[in-house]
Order: sequence, then structure tokens, then C-alpha cells
Amino acid sequence: MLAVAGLVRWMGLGRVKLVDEAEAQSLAEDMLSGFETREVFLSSDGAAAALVGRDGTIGLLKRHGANFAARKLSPPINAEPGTGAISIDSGESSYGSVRLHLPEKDADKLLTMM
Amino acid sequence: MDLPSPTQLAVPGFIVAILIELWWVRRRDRSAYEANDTLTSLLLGTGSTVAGGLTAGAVYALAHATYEFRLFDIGYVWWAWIVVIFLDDFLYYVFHRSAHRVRWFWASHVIHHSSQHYNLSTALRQTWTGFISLSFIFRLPLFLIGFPPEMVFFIVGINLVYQFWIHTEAIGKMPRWFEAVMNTPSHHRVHHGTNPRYLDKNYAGMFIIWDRMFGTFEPEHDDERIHYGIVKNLGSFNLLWAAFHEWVGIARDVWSAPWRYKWGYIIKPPGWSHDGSRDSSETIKARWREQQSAKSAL
Repeated sequence: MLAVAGLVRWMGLGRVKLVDEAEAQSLAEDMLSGFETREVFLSSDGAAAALVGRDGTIGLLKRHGANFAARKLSPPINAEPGTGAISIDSGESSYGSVRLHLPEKDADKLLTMM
Repeated sequence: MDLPSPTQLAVPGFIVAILIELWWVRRRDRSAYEANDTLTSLLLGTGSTVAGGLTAGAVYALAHATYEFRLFDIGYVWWAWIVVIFLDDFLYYVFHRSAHRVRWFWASHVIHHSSQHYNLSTALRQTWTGFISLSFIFRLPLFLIGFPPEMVFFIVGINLVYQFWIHTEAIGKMPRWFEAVMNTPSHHRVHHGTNPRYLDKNYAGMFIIWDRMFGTFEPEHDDERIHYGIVKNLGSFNLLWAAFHEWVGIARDVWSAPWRYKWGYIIKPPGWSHDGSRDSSETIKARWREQQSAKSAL
């Protein structure tokens, strides 16, 4: 088992990231039933995104393996600003919080929407 | 009759097939495997083997106890093997459909759908709690009819081994005649998809004919990317959470629901809620159909 998993890691398989806002939007709308995107905040490392929906809900995308796991949250949402990043709490211990690396202006804007 | 275990015999073949698939993945789609996901699948498979081993004695005893009340003495005649292959597969279809439509059974089966990847290692994600969810009761009619337990368990093993190779994206579509009768990678990709049109479709084990007969068949649409996993993906590689999260969900819901709705959280479809606040496959499909018709009206 460990050998097979080690082989997968050694082969460098499964490294993905979100290329752009359009990909994040497409993924979120595919994975979150009824979610319609108004604005996308894409983490600069491509590992996560927060999307603001037309109805004010927030879509979260977090890299999980070679895919992304999504959640839809309703404000108010706990989010902590940090240096060059904000951390959004999904409210679920298993899913955890999502860390977004954003320009300060975008981070401030996103925080006001949560 | 002393028969070997098909699944144990097939283990070396499983490993070789995974290595071949890895070779394909390296050349064609490097995101089809990921180390944490693969390790989780393999460990969940090991856990399932252990859980199955712990309860095998009880299941075997129950099978023999039921067989004592058999209607016919069929024995090991040649035609019985063929009949059991089809009957067992039909009962698998019934079990599998129930496993997606009754939350109690889903709690046990969800582990198999918990990966967002679709590869041969995904096939090894099998239940830890099949005994608790009473999944073995679906097979009891075979013993009651009079098919010997050893014969049935051998065919069950064959069915399980067959279902291994269909968990792959490396194989496109098989010849038309094969796709018409047998469960294939294409049909089973649909089953693992969370795209609204694919939810609750293609429950087949070996033969896709049951889905075609009972209205649950959906072909794979080549122009639509499949999103694998479950409607609310775990976002975690925690083994225990993968194995037990739906049981925890049932316990929480039953605890907090008003008395007259408690039973609903056990026997109604996954996603059902007494106040309609959650998404079930029906609500997701209905919303998707509305979106599609709105798009086509533009």
C-alpha cells in the first residue's frame, strides 16, 4: 500500500491548481447546486477561491487531492485577516478553514462581504 | 464444496492493473491519481477487509441457517451457476439502489463514493459498516430458494472482482454489444458522477440490463466533464470520518429532529430533511432542469 502511494507521489501525480477566475467559477457552479457567481476571489497560489454569489452566499473552493472540494456558506462568516492572506472558517471541523492569498484591496473587499 | 475466494486470488491482478493504470495516467492525465487519495483508498480497503473478516462468521452462519429452510434442493448442478450469476446480480442491483435511496444503507455505502478521483484504487474503497447496515439481508433469498451458500459466496466474489476494472478513466467505451449488456467503465463513471443528470443512475453490478429494465440507466455524455465524489465532498483524508461521517450525521439528525420526523432521517433518501432545508438528488435535479430550460429559452 505504502509502496503504491509512494510511487504515485514519486511520479509527481496529482498536482493541480486553479488557473483563473473562469475555472473557479465553472467549478463552483458545477459543484454547488443553484450557485450563481457574482464575483471571484482567486488565491494567488491557485489552491483556493472564494466566490460571492448573486444571493450573497459565499462559495468556497479548497484543493483536496487533485480536485477541489466546495462549500456554500451564508454570512455572517468567520474570517481572519493575516499577512497577505485571509483565513475563512467553513464552520466544519473536517473541512476546516480555507486560506486565500489575496492583494490587500481584494482581501478587504471580500471581508466586507462576509 | 470447497471453493476459493475470488477476491483473494485477484489481489495480485489488482496491483498489476493499478500499476498499468499509473503508467497510462503518467502519459495522459496526471491529475487522475494523487498520493493522499490513493493511500486513503488503500487503507479504507484494508479496513473493509478487516471489518468483513470480523463479521464473516456471523454472515456465514446466517446464510446456512436460512439455507436450512430452503424451498428446493438445487445443489451444484451446472445451470445453477448461471442462474446464480444473474439472480445475485439482480439482488445486487436492488441492494445498490437501496444503498443510494435509503439513508441507513447509504451511511454504509457512501465510503465507496467518498473519493473525488475515479481510478482503480477507488474501487478498493469499500464499506466498514456493511454488517451494521444489514446489507447481507439482500442476498438471503438465494439461500431460501436453495442455492448452496458456498456457491453464492463464490459468485458474490466474482461479481466484486468484475466491478474492479470498471473504476477507470483509462478505458473509453467498449464495443456497442458489450455496452448494451454489461456494466462498463463508461456506465460506472456515470454512477460515480455528481453531475445532476448522473445522480442516482446506473446501479448495475455486472449487467447493465437491470438499469435499462427499471429506468435508472443514463449514458455517459462525452461533452460533459464528470465531477466524481458525493454532493457534499468531504474535503478531508481522515479515514474515520470517511468511514463514519454519515452515521454521525444520522445520529445528530435523529437526536435533534422532532419526534415524528426522527424515522425519516433513517429511512428517507440522503439529503432529505423534514423542513426541506437541504438538497436531495431530486431537488438538485429539479433545479438543474430549471436552469437548462431557462438557458434554452434564451
